[in-house]
Amino acid sequence: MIYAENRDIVEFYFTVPNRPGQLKRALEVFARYRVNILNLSAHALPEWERGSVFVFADFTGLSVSAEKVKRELEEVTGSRVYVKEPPVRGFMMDEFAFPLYAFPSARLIILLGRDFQEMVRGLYREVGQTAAVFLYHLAYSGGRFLAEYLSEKLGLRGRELLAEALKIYQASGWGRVEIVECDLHKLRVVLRLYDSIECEAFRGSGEAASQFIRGHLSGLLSGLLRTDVRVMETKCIAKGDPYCEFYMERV
Amino acid sequence: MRRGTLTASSTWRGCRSRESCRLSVLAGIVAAKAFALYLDRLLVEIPLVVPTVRLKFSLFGETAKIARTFLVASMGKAHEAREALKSFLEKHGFSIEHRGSLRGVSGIVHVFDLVAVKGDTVLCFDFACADEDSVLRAAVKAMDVRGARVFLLLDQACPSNAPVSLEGKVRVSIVFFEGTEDLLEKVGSAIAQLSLSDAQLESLETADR
Repeated sequence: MIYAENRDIVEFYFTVPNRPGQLKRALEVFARYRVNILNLSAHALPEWERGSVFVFADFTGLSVSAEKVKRELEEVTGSRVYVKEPPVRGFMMDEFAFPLYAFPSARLIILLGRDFQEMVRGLYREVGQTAAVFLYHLAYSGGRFLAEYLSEKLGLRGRELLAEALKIYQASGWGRVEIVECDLHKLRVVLRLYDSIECEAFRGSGEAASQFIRGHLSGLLSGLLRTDVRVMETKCIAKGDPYCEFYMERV
Repeated sequence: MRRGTLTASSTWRGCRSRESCRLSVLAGIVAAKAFALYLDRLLVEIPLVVPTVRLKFSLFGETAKIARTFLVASMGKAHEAREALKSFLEKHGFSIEHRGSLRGVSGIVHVFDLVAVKGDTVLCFDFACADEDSVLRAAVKAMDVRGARVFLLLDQACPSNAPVSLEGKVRVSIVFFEGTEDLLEKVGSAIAQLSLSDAQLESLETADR
C-alpha cells in the first residue's frame, strides 16, 4: 500500500522466467522510459519455472503511458502483464498479490499496527480485565502451533530452534526479541522484547500490559519444550521501562 | 457527604421556630452524617458483595433511589448467603478465604468472593446478579483456573438475562438460589455431585489401566 499525494502510481504484476538476469531485463523496461519504481516485490522457489513480480511505479509527469510499458514488458517477459491504476490519485493498494504466502504453503496476513492495537484496546473496553485472559489464551495456541510447525519444517531442536522461532516476532513486526538467558534444561529463559506493538498501545498506563504476545511466547516455549510453561512480564514499556522483559516458569 | 446535605435541607423545611429549626438542622446533620457513613460503607461493601453490578447510573435522582433499594437488598441477602455458605463449607472441613485469589494458567491472578480448600479440592464461589457480564467473567476465570471448580451463585431475585446455555460448555457451575437455605442445599448437592463425578472418573481411569 502506498500513499503519495498527487502522484500517478500504477501497479504491475507479471512473471519472469526463473533464471539469472530475467528480472533485470524486465526492470530495464521501466528504466528505459525513466519510470521510477517505488516498490518492488519478487519471489520464486528454486523448482518454479517462473517467478512473480509486483511493482508500484510512478508515472507522474511522464509522456509514456502505462499501456506502452505493459506491451513492452509482455514482449520481454513472455508473460501476460496486469496493470492497475488507482481510482484515488496517489493511493495505491495492492490488488494482485492475494493470497500472501510466507512459505510456499503458509498463508500470511498483514495487519496495520494501529488496527491490532485498537482491537486489543476495544476488547478491554468491552469486557474489562477479562480481555487479558482471552488475549493470552487466544495467542497461546498460535505460539504452540508455530513451535510445532517450525520444529518440523526446520528440523531444529532446543536453543537453536528457539533462536530461529523468535525471529518471527521481528519479521512480522510484533517487536524485536533478544535472548538474555537460556538454559532449557533448567527451564530458565529470560527474553527481552523491544518496541512491542501490544504494550506500545498502553504506554503510560503504569502496568505491565503484555497478554497477547506473552501468551504467544508461552505457547511457543511450551511447544518447544513439550511441557506447560508460561512467561511472566517483569518489565514493560507500558510502565516506563525501556523494553519488556519476560521470564519463563513452569505452570 | 453531599448526600447528607440533602437530608438536612429537607428537615429545614418542616421547622416552626428558630430554635426548633436549629435543633432540626443539628439533628438533620447528625442524621445525614450517619446516613452518609452508612451509605459510604455500603458503597465499599457493594463491590465486595455484588461485584458484578455496574454502577452505570448516578447515585442521585429517582433512578438512584430504585437502584439503591435494590442494591441494599441484594447486598444484605448476598452478605447473609455468603456467611451461611462459609459456615456450611467450614462444617464440611473446608478452610475458607474471603476474597481469595488464585493464579490462573495464564499467570493472571483471579479474585473470588470465597475460596474453599480441602486437601486437593479447591472450590471458588462468586456471588453475582444474573447478567451476561457475570457469567462471562466466571467462565473466563474457570477457563484459566484449571485446578479448581468455579461456582457462580446467582440470586434469582435479580433480573436475569444470563446465557445459561453456557453451562456445560464452560467449566463453571451456575447455581440460581432464592434464599440462604436454597443456596446451601444446591451447593451441597453440587459438591456431592462433583465428588461422585470425581470418584466415577477415578474408577473409570482405574478400569482403563
